[in-house]
Amino acid sequence: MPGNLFTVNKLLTLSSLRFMNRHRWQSWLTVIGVMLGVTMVVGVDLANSSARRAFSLSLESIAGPTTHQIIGGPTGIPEKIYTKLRTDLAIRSSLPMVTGQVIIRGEPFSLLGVDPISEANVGRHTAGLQYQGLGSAFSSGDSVMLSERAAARLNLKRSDVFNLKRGGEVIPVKLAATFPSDNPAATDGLLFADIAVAQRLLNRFGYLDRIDLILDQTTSASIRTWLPPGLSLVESESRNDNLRQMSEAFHINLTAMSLLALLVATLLIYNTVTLSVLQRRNTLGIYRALGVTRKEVFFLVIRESLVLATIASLAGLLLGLLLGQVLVQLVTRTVNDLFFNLHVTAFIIDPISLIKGFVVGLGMSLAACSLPAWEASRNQPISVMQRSVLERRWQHRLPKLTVCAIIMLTIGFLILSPTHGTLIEGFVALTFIVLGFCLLVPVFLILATRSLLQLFSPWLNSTARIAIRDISAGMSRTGMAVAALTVAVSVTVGVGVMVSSFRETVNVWLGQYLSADIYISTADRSGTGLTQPLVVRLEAIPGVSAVSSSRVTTIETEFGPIRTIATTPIKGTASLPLKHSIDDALALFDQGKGIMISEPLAYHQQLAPGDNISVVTNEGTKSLAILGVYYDFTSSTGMIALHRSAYQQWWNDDRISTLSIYRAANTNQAELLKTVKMVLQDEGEQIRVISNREIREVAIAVFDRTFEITRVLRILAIVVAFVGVLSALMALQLERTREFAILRATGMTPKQISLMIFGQTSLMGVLAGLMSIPLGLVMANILIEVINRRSFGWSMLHQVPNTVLIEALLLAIFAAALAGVYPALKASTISPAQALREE
Amino acid sequence: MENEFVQVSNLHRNFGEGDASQSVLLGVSLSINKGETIALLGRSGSGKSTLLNVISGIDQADTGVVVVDGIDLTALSEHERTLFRRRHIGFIYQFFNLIPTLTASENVALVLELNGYTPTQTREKTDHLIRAVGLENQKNKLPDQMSGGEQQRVAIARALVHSPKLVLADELTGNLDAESGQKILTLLQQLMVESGGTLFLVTHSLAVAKTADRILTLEDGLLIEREGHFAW
Repeated sequence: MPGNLFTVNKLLTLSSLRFMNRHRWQSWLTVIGVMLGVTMVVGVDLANSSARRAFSLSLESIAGPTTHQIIGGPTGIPEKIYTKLRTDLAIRSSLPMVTGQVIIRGEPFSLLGVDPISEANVGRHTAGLQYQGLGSAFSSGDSVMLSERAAARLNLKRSDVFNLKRGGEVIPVKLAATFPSDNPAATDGLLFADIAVAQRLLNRFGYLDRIDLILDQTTSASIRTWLPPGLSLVESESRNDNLRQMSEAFHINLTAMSLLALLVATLLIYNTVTLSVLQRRNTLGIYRALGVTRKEVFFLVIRESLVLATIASLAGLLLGLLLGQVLVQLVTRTVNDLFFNLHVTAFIIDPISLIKGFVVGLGMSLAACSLPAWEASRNQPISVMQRSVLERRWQHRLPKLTVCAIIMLTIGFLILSPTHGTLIEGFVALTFIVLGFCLLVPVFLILATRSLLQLFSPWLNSTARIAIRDISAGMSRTGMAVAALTVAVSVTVGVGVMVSSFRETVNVWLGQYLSADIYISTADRSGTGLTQPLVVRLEAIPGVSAVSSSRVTTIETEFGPIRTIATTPIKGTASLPLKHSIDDALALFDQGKGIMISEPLAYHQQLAPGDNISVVTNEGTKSLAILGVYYDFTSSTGMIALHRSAYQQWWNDDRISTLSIYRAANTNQAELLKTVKMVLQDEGEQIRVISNREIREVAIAVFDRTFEITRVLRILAIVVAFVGVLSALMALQLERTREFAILRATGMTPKQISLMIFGQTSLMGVLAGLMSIPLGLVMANILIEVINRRSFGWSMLHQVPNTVLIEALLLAIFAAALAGVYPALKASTISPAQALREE
Repeated sequence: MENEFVQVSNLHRNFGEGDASQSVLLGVSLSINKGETIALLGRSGSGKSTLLNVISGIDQADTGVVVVDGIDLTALSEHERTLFRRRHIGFIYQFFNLIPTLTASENVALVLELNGYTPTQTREKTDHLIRAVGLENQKNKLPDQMSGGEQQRVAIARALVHSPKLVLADELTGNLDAESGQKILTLLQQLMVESGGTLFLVTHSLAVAKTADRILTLEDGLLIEREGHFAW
């Protein structure tokens, strides 16, 4: 009977099942560990794919069959361009659009202003909206349209008049009609209006935001040359890709975090399967003596593990569905905070995510159990088997393990050496380093226990000596259990240090970046309401030493649209926190002779001071010199900063997005804030006044929200580790029942046995906790310097809070000590005579 | 010679390396005829179990040849030796070595299942052997629910169920009291007579040894055949 995975010997299988049933808590804890790992992978993947899918659907539903778009600069596209396009160039398949953000009953919506006749002629059903037969309802008064689902959610019926907020302004509108939609994720956040109505609501008189076109190659080329400076023709698909890329690094980062949790679960599977093989050494030896071949033993262990992994993976899929629904809200919120407006109301169950999660769960389990299965197949037949041979084998392996560890660590660090590698390379390197460190754990354990015995020998009684010596003497059992605990706890150190470093960096950066005392903006940053006369009034307030104005917008560059701030730095104040720059960068910046770019932009596009970047201005494409790179955490795709005068010159846009007020010396900030608010109270609700301190609080709140997902995943990783290690350490102690019986028979009291077990597991916890710190710090360094840098382009300070380290140590000790409680109690009640009975 | 079932020629087996190396078998040669019962005596650590393991194919000699039923075991791969052992050899141990998670009848049936017997054949032969060893009422019990004598009966049934040509017994009665041991021995001998197989017993007990057709003694790594009374 040849041995393979599918050749099932019924009685051997029955024996395995009964063994798992006898150790069911061990089996269940293994299942729970794998299940949690798969839950995280599936949950994150479903959340990511729901968000990605919602984004794609929204793009597709709006773009339809269009091939190109005409886009303008900060001011948009003059209406007359559209008119000329249709009359002079006879481009009939042209669709004007105006877009903006509004609030309805506290919920954000994207308002799309379209020309229904053009849309109907082209046959585009934007978000499923059928323009034919709408009649005058669509274009009369302040009529708007919502999807049926959105209207029901807002408790609105046809003909209802309700308030819409744009900036601080409240505008009454009428719900003229609703429409059904097959894609709720795409349509739930959309509000439609006739383009003229939308222009009025958004205060975009005479301008469009884009013109969608259906063109062939020849026509697109002629339009490109026809367009005046300041406008450009882009392909719809590449523009959508740019937008997708913005959030992709975030999604990959999340996925990698979940895979890290699965890696921890995998180590625990390895540990548990190894232990179950050790527990059945005699039985496996009997199989071999009876004539079960090595291959048959190998596949027997593999099949056992796959049974548990299948149950765990299936359960993980179900829980992953639940977790995904929770995570999708966190993911959406973060994407909204950091990248672009995303409206996900439908949780999309992607079968690919489920299949991926199941396959990954099974695959990792298979990888984890292969080595113990191979070791089981090397088991000698019972009559030649000796326990001491097993431990000697382990001792002989240590040099090879150490060499393997050094090789893996070297490979890991070599993969990290290029400064602009991919995110995937970063995580592969991290995996090599973690596994390499694992292989060094047995060596560390032996050195630690020997040192303890040498240093503290005069003060140790025999119980303590046995407990300590047994850790290294039983390396076949203790080594991997401690390694698994070490890795699990190190994840909490690594992630904890990364998050606190990031937080501290943002805090310090805010201190440098927010140099003014009070900031004034409009709710939608459209510039409405902030005028030069207002600036003069503010400058006249006693206690105000200076007022600086900025324009925040998006400009088209060779790298796609990039968020831009045009500002006028105030002399004597710090403007941008520079990372590096050319000589006299600030002076050149003030003269409008170049721009500054943020660190993420410099990193992702591999730009440096001295390089140039092409931008589309009202006067055509210009090549602007990069004077310096500054730290910025407001955007992971990057920003451009330029002097207000240069911006004005090239884009002819004198609108103001924000004002920054600097107080004079000896002026109380709170008093000044009150005075400014009083002066502005007549300007209307759309003007917002906020202090430096309040901005910092909001920024930190956004930061904390962004990392809420990381915190959730970290907690889940801790649970996975805790569950798995608990089972491994408990099994370890329970497997030594006969050993304890011998000790009892030779005179050790139950109390001494209990103390020995409890002390031993606690000591293993201490050693694991201590080892987890250097590994965790290496992990944090990789997460900060490699993973985050490659994902977002941000560089960070390193901050190692003592609380994170102490927490890790306590976690390790607690998990290990808890694992020792039950075996300690059980061993103390053992009957030596019964336990010593032979089979 | 035609009747020789087992031929062992000039077997050497060492354990350990360098200064710690210890020679256990120093050129052991023997032959066993078909249907014979051979008893092997020797002090603890003399290499009796090692010789048994080499003959069964569990262990491999450093030098020498072992031929069982015309097949040179020393020329086979580990996999081939395992299959040979599965099909043609039955082994009985001092400490029974039953599978703790299988019942008595399941322990017996395992060998047949490994050898590809059909479920019907497995059931029939298992039931026959369980009856033959007198354990019909214990056939559904697990090993830890049985006495030492009962466990050894199960082990005997397991060793014989697939009609092996060679049965090896290592200290068969070493873990039993005198009365149980005698009963076990008698049972085994009866079953061997029925099957016509060859039995190779390792034992400390002269009383057990005297029931054999021939007595061999392993001393200082060499095999000596003794006849009549002898003492250590």
